[in-house]
Amino acid sequence: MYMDEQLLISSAQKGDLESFNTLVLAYQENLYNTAFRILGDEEQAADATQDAFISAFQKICSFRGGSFRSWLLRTVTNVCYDELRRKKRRPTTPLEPITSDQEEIESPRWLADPDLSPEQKFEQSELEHAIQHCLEGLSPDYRAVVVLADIQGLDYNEVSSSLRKPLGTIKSRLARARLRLRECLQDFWELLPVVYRLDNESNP
Amino acid sequence: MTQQISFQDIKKLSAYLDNQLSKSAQTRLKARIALQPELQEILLDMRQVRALLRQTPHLRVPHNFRLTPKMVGMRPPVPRSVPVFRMASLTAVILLFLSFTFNFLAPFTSAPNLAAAPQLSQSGGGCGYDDPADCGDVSMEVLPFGVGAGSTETSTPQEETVMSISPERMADSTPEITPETSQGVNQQPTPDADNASPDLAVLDSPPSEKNQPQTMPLLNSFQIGLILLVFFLGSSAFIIRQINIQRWRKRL
Repeated sequence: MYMDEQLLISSAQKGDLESFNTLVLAYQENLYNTAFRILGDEEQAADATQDAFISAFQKICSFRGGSFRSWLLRTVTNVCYDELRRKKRRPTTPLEPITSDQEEIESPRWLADPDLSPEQKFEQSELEHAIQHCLEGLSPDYRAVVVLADIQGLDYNEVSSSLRKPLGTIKSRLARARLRLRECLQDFWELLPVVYRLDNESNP
Repeated sequence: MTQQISFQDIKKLSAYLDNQLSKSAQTRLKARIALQPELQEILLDMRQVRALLRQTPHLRVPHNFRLTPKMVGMRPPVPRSVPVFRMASLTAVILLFLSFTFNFLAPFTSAPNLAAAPQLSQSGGGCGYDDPADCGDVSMEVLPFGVGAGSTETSTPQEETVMSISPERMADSTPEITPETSQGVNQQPTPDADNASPDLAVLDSPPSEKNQPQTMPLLNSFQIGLILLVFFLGSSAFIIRQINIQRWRKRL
């Protein structure tokens, strides 16, 4: 796979769009999920992902080796930062569907998986809402670190490379982000399904 | 003995969770965790947070993010011959424009030159305007503009100045020009002036007919050739480009 990836990257650097599209298919889920966790909105995440891939193709000649995934994640993170800055300058009110009691209707994306039972869907929905709420409470810098390290599963070096920050900064931001998430999630702890309470998890 | 928990401890716990501590630091921290239940609690909470984050389901992508040539602003490569055709076509257009401009301006530039010639020779020859005898060999025939045309109105000297060279002198191919009249420019035309000399016969016809420029056709052969060349080169470049675009799209 690695050799294939190198070949595809080399072809893409020569302007072969089909080779790049193969890479797009391999990484689009990673990028889209990262964008969604940072932005908290599916539409914006999709736009950011598309923009990131376009930007990546246009700048692929500047890729000098290393982890291509980190390089792509850096691109999408930068696009997300730009989007967050833009949102901060021009805040918008999302048009969330609400019930007659002024409560938000569940986003249909959580109901789309046909393999889950209604109870599981509900549990998943609660968890997702809680996590996303807490993630959005973090500043973008902390959010990006925790999304890349804990959700995308990148190691510290990859996160450091993706965000172009020193390793010490990454460690520090991750620790602080986890601490804040811990405090935030304690408010939702009773709401979280028992399956996610991991008291008996073994040591690393 | 218990130590105060600092942010450095939290940072170490986070790194310990990810196996990012050195062996010695890991051993020291383990010993502290065993002694400090607060550290144990924080470690447990952080582990749960991390596990929660890792278990969050990945969203399905709403659509494929494959790029199209249009998205990335890709254009089909231009064949090498196209710029050559374009340049040649542009050059032909410029030449055509210049030829049209020249044709348009030619009547305006030639007429004033003809009218100005006597004045230039007058002043250039060092002759006094009132005394043509001063001119020596250079003969200036200064006649009223309306001579031979039956005009009776008195014209200004500048309008009446016409230079003529007698046919006999032209045949001799000698540049000797003699003054044929020394009466000055204010001489009034006489009724028998039409028959005065053969030289004057030249002036019988109105100057406006003599100086009339030759009528040119709307397009000469050079211009027609240029137009055809522009059309040929332009259409060749266009056709080559279109064929190339078709091939490029098929390849994609």
